[in-house]
Amino acid sequence: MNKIKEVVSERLGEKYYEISHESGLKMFVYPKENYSSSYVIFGTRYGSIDTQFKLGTDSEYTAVPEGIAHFLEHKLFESEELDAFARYAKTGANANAYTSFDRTCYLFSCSENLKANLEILMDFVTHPYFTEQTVQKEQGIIGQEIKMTEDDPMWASLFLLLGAMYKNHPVQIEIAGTVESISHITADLLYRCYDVFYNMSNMAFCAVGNVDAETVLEVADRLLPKKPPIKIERKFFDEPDAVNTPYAEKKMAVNTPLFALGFKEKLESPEKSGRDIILMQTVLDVLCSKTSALYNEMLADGLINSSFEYEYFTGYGYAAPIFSGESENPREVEKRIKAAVVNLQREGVSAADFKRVRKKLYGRSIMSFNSADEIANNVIASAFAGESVFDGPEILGSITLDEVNRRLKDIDTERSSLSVINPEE
Amino acid sequence: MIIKPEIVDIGEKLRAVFVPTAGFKTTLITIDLLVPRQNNLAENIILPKILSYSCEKYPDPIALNAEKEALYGAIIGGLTARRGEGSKVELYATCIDNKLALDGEDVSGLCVELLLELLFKPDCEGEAFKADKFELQRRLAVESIESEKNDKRLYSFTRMIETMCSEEVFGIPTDEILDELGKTTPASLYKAHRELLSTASVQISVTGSFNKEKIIEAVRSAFSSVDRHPITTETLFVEEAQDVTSLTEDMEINQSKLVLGYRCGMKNRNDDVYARQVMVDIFGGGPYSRLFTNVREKMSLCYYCSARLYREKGIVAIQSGIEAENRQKVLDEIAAQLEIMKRGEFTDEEFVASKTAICDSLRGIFDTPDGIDSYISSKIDDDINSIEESIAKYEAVTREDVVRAANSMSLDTVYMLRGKEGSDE
Repeated sequence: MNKIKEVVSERLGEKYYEISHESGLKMFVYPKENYSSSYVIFGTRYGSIDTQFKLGTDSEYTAVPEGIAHFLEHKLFESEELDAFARYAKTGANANAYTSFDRTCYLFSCSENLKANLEILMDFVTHPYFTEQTVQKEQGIIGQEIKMTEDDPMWASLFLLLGAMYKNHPVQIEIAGTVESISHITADLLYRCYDVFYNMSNMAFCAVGNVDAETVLEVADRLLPKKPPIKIERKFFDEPDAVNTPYAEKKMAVNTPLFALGFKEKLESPEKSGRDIILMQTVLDVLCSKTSALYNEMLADGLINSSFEYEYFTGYGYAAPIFSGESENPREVEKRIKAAVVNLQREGVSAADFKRVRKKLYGRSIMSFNSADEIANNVIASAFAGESVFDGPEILGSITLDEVNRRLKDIDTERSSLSVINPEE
Repeated sequence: MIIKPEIVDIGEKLRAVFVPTAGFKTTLITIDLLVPRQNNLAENIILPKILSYSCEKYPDPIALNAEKEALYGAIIGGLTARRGEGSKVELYATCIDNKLALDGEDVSGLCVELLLELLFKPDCEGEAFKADKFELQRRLAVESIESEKNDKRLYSFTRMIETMCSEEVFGIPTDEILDELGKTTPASLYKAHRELLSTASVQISVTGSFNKEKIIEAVRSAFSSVDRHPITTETLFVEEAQDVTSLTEDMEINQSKLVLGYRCGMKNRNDDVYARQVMVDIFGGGPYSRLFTNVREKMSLCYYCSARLYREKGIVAIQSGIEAENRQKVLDEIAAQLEIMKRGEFTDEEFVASKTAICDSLRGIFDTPDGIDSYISSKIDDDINSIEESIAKYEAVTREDVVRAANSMSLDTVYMLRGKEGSDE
């Protein structure tokens, strides 16, 4: 039996239906009034960091080639008959997929033929078809995708930083792997990963926009396989508290050096809560948003430019505030940011700054409920984190200055890495 | 979402477009000013940046940013976009909808006020912008152009256009733009600002909830201080290529970029545009296109190979990332596929798939404020058709129309950014 629960946010004036489907799949149907189109995601909690895993019944961890989650994403579009793209060509949907550190998502948007598109999506994601020939063909295409991302200096500086911060954790591995690592991928290995990670109990589904639960469930009841749930154990890599190396650099075809500075956070448990994430985002905004002295001084002194940005980078087994951009003097940027952190830790966040930043983040979190694609992606991410997409605005309404000041202490300036991409000579 | 834009003419080439919507969390306001690209080329790149950085009322950028944050993190900024051989200077604000404000503030009204303040009352001394702020914003403008080299796809596209349109305003080279930026002064910027307000075609668009009369009055009153002499921005359309220019440049990168530029027979931005869009889409648009299914899927030569129509200039560009050694193979295949288009040998399935996909995505573009705004903004000096009219025009395109459009394509430029593996050959 399917269990349906209505989830409402009075604050936002929004609601969705959360369905525990009889197949074991968590489903979310989020109708938006007046919308002509819908945006649908079928995702699995399986990404580039899942390089070692075992089922409850296994005694040993299975290790698989780097980049296999992404490779599987490409290959799932194929079937023995018509591939998924050819089927979508008949309905007019705009279909795509992506793989990140911790999830793989298949999606489409459409204004018409919702039911036919749901059938295509639920059918191809639940029916893998891999052969050695098609695997080989894909190695050429993905090889070019890998080379394309290798030429992206911002991407390169992020991974150079992750490799500097982390000694063992697979977050430092390129999402698509390398030309060498994907050469070890076989049809058998793809089936093995598929059978583990594409079990309905490890997946989530979300439809937003011009959608209704009835249509979605009619297709789901008919097409989703009913297999017993499985328990996946992800390896929690033994990661030292200290960084791997405080500094790493390489040369690429750029005009100005690019940098990324990260502060490796000590983890008591594999994952940070939604509240901890929002508290750290508040800290980072106080520290270096466009209203901060730090940002404006670095800008006026010619140390940074419009490319400067910061984020709280976190997932299963990793967490780090990261600051990045272009600079002729990355070492000086590092010095300034560290000094500002130490100074803020000493003086504490002021009540006025806290109030202003909280108001800004509250406004931004509301803005994210505008577009169907943003909502659907956030719903899936929240589902995998065991939280609700409505939690963000609520948390922002209840965080306190004391909490922010305590969270600020989690940034350890002694545990940082700096990566720099320098121009070729 | 079905929308009904209301156009209010406030003066010669000065109009406001109001799009009332229900259901969005935000109101989006943009002010677009269109002028010929060659007029104050460099100054018009700096202007939107400096205007949104500080103003007479908030000379301290920290104070201005604090004001934005207090408006629930309103996203307020400025940019310069290309539109054919025109420069579109834009100031924009996205803010939360009034009904979501915690204390009942008129957030959108306050944002309009602030935008007009930024546009009309800059931070100046006599007849010049403040020198320190000018120097900072000029540096940011220069560095932002220089960093385009980081994005190899964008960089190679720009180099193709500079080669193809070397005799046209559209192809003014980056080096010349950087030279021009070097010659700007606080006084030349002041003069350019006055000229922009006086000569531009201006469109203010507001999407969301708003007080229409109040906004019209505010705009009218702001422009009453300006001696308006609007000029028309025209773009030169070259219908046919004379001969093929080839240019190959070397860079230390892993993947070579191949960019082809075609003249496509257009006399103006609306000339037979529906047939041409469908033709380009079948040729190299979605995953059902000839280039995707052949160059990528069948031949495994690339990760992407796509065609796009630039209607504002009457150009079609094909872009692909490849191994240098495969250059001729890819060129031959692109030529063979274009021949198929010209002879009308594309399948009915491809023809129908393309029209279905284009119309499906058009039906959904008004489901986000950004979608509505960019549609309205692209019509700055043109009629604003309804989406239903556009869909009817696409549906009416015949196979013969597509063949005719294909036969008006002529290859003008083949540009290649060659990676390190290819440079030894």
